[in-house]
Amino acid sequence: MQLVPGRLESIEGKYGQLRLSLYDNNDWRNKVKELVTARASFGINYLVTPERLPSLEGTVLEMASLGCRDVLLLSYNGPDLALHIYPEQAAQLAKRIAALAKAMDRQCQIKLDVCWGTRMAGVPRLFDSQDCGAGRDFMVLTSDKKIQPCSFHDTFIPFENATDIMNIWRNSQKILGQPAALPGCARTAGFGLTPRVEQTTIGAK
Amino acid sequence: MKIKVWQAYASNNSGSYTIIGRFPDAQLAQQVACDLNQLLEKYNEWVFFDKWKTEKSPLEEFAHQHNLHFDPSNDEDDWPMAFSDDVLPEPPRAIALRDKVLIHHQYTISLPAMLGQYFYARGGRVREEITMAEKPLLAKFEIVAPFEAVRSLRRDVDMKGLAEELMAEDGPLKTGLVSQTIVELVKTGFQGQTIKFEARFTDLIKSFSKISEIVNKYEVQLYLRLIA
Repeated sequence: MQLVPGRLESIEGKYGQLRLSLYDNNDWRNKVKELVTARASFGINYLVTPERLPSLEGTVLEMASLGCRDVLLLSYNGPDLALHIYPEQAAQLAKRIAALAKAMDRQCQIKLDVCWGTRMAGVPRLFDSQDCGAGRDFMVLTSDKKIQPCSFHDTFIPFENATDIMNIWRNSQKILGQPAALPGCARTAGFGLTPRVEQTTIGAK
Repeated sequence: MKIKVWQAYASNNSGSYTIIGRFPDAQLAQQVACDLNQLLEKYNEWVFFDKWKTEKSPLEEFAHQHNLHFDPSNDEDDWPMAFSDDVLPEPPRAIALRDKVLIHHQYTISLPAMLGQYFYARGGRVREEITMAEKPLLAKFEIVAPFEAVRSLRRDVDMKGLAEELMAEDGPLKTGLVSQTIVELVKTGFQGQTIKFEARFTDLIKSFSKISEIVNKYEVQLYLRLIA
């Protein structure tokens, strides 16, 4: 949905929550101001990449100062290895997020994407589960009547009706519990990330 | 057990944009698609190579030529973003599928509203506009060779041959697919003989071009529905 003038007014009371994805080129500061002014129920999705690591706290504080009360920190799922946060970076990041969440208490909720998995082990979490729950706690239903364990998954199981959905959920947990093929999946050993050259170098020292 | 269902609407994350127009005949649709492709390519280069510094917008010129309303400040208009300063992004493409014209791009929030106006200016009408579709669109095709007279099949339309071409090893229902379901393969129903299939394609324009090339060889009707 594009936030053009008049759009927020036209959908008022007809949605659960808007998620605003933050990019460097989408004028997010003004969009946050518009959402706050319109008293919209919204949160910001922020993809944490290595490039964004140094400015993370500053960006989140700026979001909060503009009136945002909900920030979801997302990990990247996909083939571009330069966008992934590697486990050793993640351990450091987890400490920073824990401190940030504490500092932002009551001012802005800091949420974590389930795909971070054990990489965020140092952050206090609502559910202390090792698994992301895809296919068991939640599933994705596509418009062409297929079930996916999660939106990043390469498994598609066709269904026709609500009974099929329940039967698949009950009887296909083995398939639904598999990791996704995309690098970044918390179910894959090492998150499916090929060890970087630097890691090998450090190990050799 | 408590089950909650959320209906999510895609945002601008890797969303595609598609507009479909319908015209009085296939020849006109073909001509419109051809004219639009020239415009789309030209405008794409104008944006990417910063030609706006010295040249008038090809969209503005086109609007003037066809008496369309051009509003450069329209907030809802958008254009595909370049991912690199060195590589010209793929422009949106137009394709004619019998009497329909589709304009599609895999990654853009929207396209100039003027493109839809052009459909009307050429005697067509906008049938559908699908914005910010996060996954490849589901295309539902129905190809029909209608009865010649009451319950009399058209013997001159080789529907089996058409199906074989679609299903050939390098055909559009065997390559470039995300998913595919053959609903009916040459079945005689109340309309005549039909072929029904639905698929999500990795490159919608490429696959639609192949389908169009095959279907154009046969005297059939083509129905298409796109679902995000």
